[in-house]
Amino acid sequence: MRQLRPAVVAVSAVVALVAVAAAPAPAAAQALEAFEWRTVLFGQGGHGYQSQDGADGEPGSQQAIIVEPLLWARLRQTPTLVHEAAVEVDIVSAASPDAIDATTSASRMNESVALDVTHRWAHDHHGEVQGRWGFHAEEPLRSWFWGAGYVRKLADDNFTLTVNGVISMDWFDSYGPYGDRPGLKQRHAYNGNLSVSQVLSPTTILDAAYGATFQAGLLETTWNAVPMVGGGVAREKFPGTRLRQAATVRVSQHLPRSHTTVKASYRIYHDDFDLDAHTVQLFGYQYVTPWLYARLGYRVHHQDGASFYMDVFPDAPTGYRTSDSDLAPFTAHEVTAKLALLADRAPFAVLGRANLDVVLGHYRRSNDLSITWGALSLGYKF
Amino acid sequence: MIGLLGASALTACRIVPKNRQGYLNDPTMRASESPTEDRARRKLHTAREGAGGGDGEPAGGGCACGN
Repeated sequence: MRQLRPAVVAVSAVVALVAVAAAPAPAAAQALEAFEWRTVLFGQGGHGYQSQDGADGEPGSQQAIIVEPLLWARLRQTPTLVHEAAVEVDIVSAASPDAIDATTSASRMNESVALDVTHRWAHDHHGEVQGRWGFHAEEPLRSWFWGAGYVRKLADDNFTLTVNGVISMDWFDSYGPYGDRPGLKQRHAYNGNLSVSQVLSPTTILDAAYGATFQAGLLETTWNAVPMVGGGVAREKFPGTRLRQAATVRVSQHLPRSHTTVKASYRIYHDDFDLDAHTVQLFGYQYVTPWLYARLGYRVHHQDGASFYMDVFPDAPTGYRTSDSDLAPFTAHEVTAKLALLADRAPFAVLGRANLDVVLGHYRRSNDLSITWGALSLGYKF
Repeated sequence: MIGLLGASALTACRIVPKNRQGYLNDPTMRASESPTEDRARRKLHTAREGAGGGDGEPAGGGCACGN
């Protein structure tokens, strides 16, 4: 597949958003209700055995700079029909250089674009039907997805039940670690989710969710290197199917006297690659003024690795194999800090109904990967 | 565990009327503070952790990183 160019990506993104906003409807009923723009800059460093940007048999560089602009908008077509669209662009310097990158630098810079559209129809005051579709395109891959969902609110909106599902289909060039290119391959995924939200008190909410995803097709990242003891690399090899399951519980508590909010969540994950994971996330919010709050976050993630992961394999391995550091056993710690300004609550009217926020974060994995990022966002409600 | 928590929550709490739900609608109490921040954080984790996704969002498809 041809590489996307930044201008093509940008134009495609804008055209897609305008197309959604221009969906046929009575002109008088249409209104842009809200939009949000965010740009995130990531700086990534570290090493992984799947990368060929290093000495033979040693982990290669995963150094990358990523610029990620995101745009989101909500359009009300009728009193009961709402459309939301998100456009996401990534401009990435290659994070895990492959044979082609190492010899020619032909794809040292990749661009991707994704569109995610959700249509929401409220059939009464308590129920909402959702439809969702979108696509993702980057240098070796094209992907489409379609989904549907239903939201039901009960007991004076104290209890909310959400059920949804998504099907995604990927087509990609399966070029290998030596630059060989066997041709176009496919994989597909079927995802189902059930979530509930329960109000426990005027200041407390409990959320719980369960999701399962079944994947089939060529699941490996075909250009990932699998180093061998005697030198050289083999091709990554995965089973043809994968069932992934995850469950999350979260408690959110507001403390009115101190204008503080705390959120705590726990997530457990299991899949049939024998990869198990546990994730705990904590957020603390503190209002400085009624229109300005600060948030501190901490997240710890531990996973025990896929059963067929090894840093370096014996020569000519025959079974399932990967040296992808993302599938290794590791523990990751993340800290974030956010400052958000809610201009619609502010005593000054310069910014109207805008929201501004700035977020800084640092993520560090125990197997030699770290990322520092910063984000700036502007939102507006009409 | 989630089922037990949900069942106990349903039976243990009284309904909070809408006119007493002001704190619950505060921006800091919402499940999603910002749709773009959610997307950026989710992608950061799902692209770098083999155990990403699978809860509320599809995992494994739609990305050339493939993990």
